[in-house]
Amino acid sequence: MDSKKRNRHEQKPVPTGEEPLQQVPSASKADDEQDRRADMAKLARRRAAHFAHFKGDDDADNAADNVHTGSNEARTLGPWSSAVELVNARQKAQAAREDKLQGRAVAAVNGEEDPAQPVPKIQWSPTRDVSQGPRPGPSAIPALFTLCLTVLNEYVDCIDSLVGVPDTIRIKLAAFVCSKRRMSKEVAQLFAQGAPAEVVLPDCHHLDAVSMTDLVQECVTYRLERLELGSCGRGFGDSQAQHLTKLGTLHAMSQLSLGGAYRLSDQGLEQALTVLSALSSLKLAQCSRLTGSVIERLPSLLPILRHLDLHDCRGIAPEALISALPGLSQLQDLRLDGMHQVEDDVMSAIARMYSLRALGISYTQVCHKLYMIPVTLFGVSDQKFDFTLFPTMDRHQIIPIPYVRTSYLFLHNDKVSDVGLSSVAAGCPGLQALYMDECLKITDAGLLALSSGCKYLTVLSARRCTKLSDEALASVVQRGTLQRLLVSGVHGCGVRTMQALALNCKECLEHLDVSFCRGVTEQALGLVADSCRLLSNLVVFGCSHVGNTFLHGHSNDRLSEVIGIGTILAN
Amino acid sequence: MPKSTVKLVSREGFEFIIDYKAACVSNTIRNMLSSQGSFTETELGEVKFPEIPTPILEKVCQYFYYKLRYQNSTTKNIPEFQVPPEIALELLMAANFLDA
Repeated sequence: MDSKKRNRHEQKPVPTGEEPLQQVPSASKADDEQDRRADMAKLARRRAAHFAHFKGDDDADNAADNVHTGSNEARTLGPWSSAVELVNARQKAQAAREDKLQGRAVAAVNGEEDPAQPVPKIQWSPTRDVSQGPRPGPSAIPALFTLCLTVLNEYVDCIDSLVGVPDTIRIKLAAFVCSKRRMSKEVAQLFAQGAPAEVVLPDCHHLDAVSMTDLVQECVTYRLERLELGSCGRGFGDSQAQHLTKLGTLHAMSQLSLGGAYRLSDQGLEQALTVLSALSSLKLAQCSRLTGSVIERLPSLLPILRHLDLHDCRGIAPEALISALPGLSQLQDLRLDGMHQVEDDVMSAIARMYSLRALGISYTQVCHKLYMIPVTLFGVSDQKFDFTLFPTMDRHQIIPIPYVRTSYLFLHNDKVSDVGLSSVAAGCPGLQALYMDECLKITDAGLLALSSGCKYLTVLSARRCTKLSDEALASVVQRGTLQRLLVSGVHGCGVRTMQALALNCKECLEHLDVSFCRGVTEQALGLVADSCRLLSNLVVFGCSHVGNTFLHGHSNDRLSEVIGIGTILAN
Repeated sequence: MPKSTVKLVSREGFEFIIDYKAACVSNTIRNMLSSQGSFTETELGEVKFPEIPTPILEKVCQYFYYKLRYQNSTTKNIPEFQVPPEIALELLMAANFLDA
């Protein structure tokens, strides 16, 4: 700014004797005005670049009318003017939005829309007397178990010992105490005393190294079957892992989970795993010091491993995964979420695992480069799955792989497109659960392929996939097997999908999430609630048009909790 | 054929005679009493709990009546059910067994 001021002074005409004195101030004022405008315009241009980045969910044709970009005037006038304009136009824009949705909804009710594809009419009126008011709550009286848990939590410091308390109750008590933030070193010791078979502590961040050593020494016995320590990084390091070995081989131990053990290194883990050869489930979430060497030895250390969860272990080298994963012949459930080093070559290694049933690779590079790949191989063992065999193939395609037993797929990324989804649908006919939240490129074509390919889909989570439309969702629903449908934020979801649900998923639908779907009318929701008798959870955040007519007027007694009523879209 | 009262027998042999409806607050007792098979409990209307001590069973019966009384009440000031901390742990185990 200082340099500009200097420039201004240099450019100012030097007043000579001939010019009348009044001209000088006006000339400088005009200059000031010009410069200030120029400055403001520059500032606005810089800030506008931040706001002008669309992710493509808004309709392209409405970009000109979009109040959030401001008009051309706003750019030159400056940030204050554009802010005022935004405030004034907000009301108008909201009214326009409502009209559009109401117009669509009204047309849906009247069946006026497209003569070629008549929108079904939803005729539903409240089946329960609305004036009766809300249903009596599930229980104003808490269960005796919960009452006792609350009292115990209050006096948890006074508990002498938990000897004699069965393991299931210990686990529930530990979970409750952790959730109320009353877990401490002394309390944690209580749960380890008495040689329990299961020690599950969801929150161990209070335990430092000394107390963690005490805890481990206390609970490692020949009876121990399951050890789960969440957030244990502060206390759990290599020396504590060494304490696990003090009794020799633990034949009964089958489940080990060390969440957040960021001080655990390869040597410590390897020492611990040498005595735990009977492990069937190993979960090492967020153990960032692990590199490849212990993973490479996993097939020999843990031959009968069935569940492996390495999510967020970002230090593991992909070569280790490639060499180790195919060797785990009994592995059924593999989670590699959040590991950015998982790429195409790791995927081809995974593709060689026959028995894999569930795979999670959310937030990984694979999702950005390769889209989802279903697991396992063609039935012939000497055929290697290698991308170099397909040099001309675009890497952004997925090869459908038969004999796939994938049951669960987690896709969270914005590069998966219809090609990938249709290949998956063709290759995994046994798919039961598909989580594809925020896959912004998926359109109707992918969903239609899904509905024709996967006949046993019970869970579909397509939140914020904004390009999906009513007809495609209805076609997936028409399979009649859906138990949970989560379409929060999919603006296209409307009356047709709801009607398909009411018709086809009468005996199976249990959970429905239609938050922020303003096209779903009260009548549609009422129809779904009355037809699907198993429906017990309904989530309707942001659906401010759903009111008492639906809440008190539906006659489904299992639907006791409707979450999200009363929240409105922010103005 | 459901009788109007049910007898609950504690570890020490104390017998608590309560309403059928109050006993059915506990899912375990309700299943025992209304089962299709021929349990002795169904016939005699009596259930024995050899692992539940007497003061705990007494508290459990108080909870049954408390729940029955205030279950459908819509008044705002439902009194709190006091659980003395000394028996909380054993009461927890009993509640877990009885599914109440």
